[in-house]
Amino acid sequence: MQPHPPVIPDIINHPGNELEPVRIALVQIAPILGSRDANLERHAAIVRELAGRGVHLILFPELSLTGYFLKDLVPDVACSLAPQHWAALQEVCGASTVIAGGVFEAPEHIFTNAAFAITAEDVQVIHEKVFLPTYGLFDELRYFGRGTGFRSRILGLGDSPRQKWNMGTVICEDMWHLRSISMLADQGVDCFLGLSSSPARGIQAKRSLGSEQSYDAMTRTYAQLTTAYFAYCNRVGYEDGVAFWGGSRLVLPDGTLAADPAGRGEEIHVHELSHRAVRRTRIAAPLLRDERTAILSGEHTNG
Amino acid sequence: MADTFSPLAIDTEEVILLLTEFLRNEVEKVGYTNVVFGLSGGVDSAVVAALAARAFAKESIHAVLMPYRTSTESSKADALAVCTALGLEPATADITPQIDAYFATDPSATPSRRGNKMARERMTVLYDFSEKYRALVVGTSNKSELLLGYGTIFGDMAHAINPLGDLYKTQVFALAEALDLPEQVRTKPPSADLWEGQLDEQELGFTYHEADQILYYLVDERRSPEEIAALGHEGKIVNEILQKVKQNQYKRRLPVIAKLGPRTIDRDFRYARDWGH
Repeated sequence: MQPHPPVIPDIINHPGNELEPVRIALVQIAPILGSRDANLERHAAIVRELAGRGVHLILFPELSLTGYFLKDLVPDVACSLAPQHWAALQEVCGASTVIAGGVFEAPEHIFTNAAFAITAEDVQVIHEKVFLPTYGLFDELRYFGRGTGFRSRILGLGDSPRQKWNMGTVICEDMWHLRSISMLADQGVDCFLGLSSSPARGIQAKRSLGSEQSYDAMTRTYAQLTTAYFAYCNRVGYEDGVAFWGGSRLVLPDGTLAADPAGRGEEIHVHELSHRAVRRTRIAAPLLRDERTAILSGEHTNG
Repeated sequence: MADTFSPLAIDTEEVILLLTEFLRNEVEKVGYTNVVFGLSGGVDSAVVAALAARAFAKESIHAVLMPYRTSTESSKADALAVCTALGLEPATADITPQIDAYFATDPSATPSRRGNKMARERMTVLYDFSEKYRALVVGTSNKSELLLGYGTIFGDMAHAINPLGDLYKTQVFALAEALDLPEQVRTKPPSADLWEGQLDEQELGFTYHEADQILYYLVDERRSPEEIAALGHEGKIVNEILQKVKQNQYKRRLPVIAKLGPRTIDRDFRYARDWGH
């Protein structure tokens, strides 16, 4: 496998470290399975309120517009980038950027498990899930096409003038593969956006919930090792007896939690993202500066 | 009777939370507020009753005692003790007239036929209550029974939702203790009480304590029978259990449909049950 070349996006023109923090909301909801319009309406109501309260980035969970165990419903709930799908949501965005999970239908009619970035001005797909779990209770590869890579995206956030935030998006199972994170880290991301529909599993005494413990360890470790924020938004509710455990949280660039994680119910948590905190952490722990991507790439090639 | 086999030791607090929310969520999102289930006096239905009492208003819970004339008095007393402990008002539907009328012309019917008939009679009572009170039928089968096929197809295995189906019998006992259910319910030997003197473990030929460990190794850890025998379990019992799991697969699936068209139900017509909810 060819190593992914490091890509340094053009964000250096304004480090932003003198700017005020921006506000991010983690919207932990229980979507209705297979009812895209009802979910979209719910998103719009939440976005209208949060945008009105001055939240700059509104993060929803994986497949927040559709529900998770879609099976044969995948084509029925898919969205292209056609304006009619998004107008109702765009109308209420104000100055906010919304990241929502849904099914993207490409012009070739390939369906992917995608993260959409929606603003008043436009709608883009910022990531298509690469690692589609197809084992145990998961069956994604039967229904979805694979995303083709991990590319960070610049989002303009905050009040005018907008701050540049270099975001790395991962969707649930993507987080279980180290390279997803390291490829995005090589692109210098300031903040990871993790969208999840993670089922509650593992009820053994002293090791419960297994899935929650795994994600807790991953998000804190990834943030600390990449000296970037990790915003993790997981869904709640039940589908056919499978519980989704919530626990949405923001991890700071030093690997500590910004606040207690969300619980098991529908909750909205608002936190701050600050370029100053990223800067402070990278001065104290210059891990990104000291990274030697080229050396590792060479070893891969020789191996 | 809490189990000491550590992989089966559960975080009871977490499980109670998950199952209480499961009941509330799966019932309410399909437009129901009431639940109905059979209360036998055994530990499984007692745990379901306790979970329901946490999830719903008392008046939304229909716990139905369905004795037959040979049912033991202690079963009834235990069921009533559960209701008292939980503050539930039980309903009673004696199934003796229907069962006796049916077998009046066939008095030689075996205990097994009679037992299955009773289980199915109870199912029809619960589904009638379901319509009468607009209540969803909650099942009480645990994972040990479902895997071993120790239940009546279209009888006690028929229900809308089941909070216990992923818990082994020994885990249900642990839950009963955490839920502080009456002691007699938590300590008596399990019985389907379909005929006098019937005991699950006697009929099965092994204890739940042993079966649950073997099932855990076979099903959850996918170990081979040889590996399990090497862990100290008698090979004959391991194989008996494996055979029961295989033989009873039919009870755990929809009836087999002959495939003809492009999209056949349950094969290539695939939707979650919670479609639209």
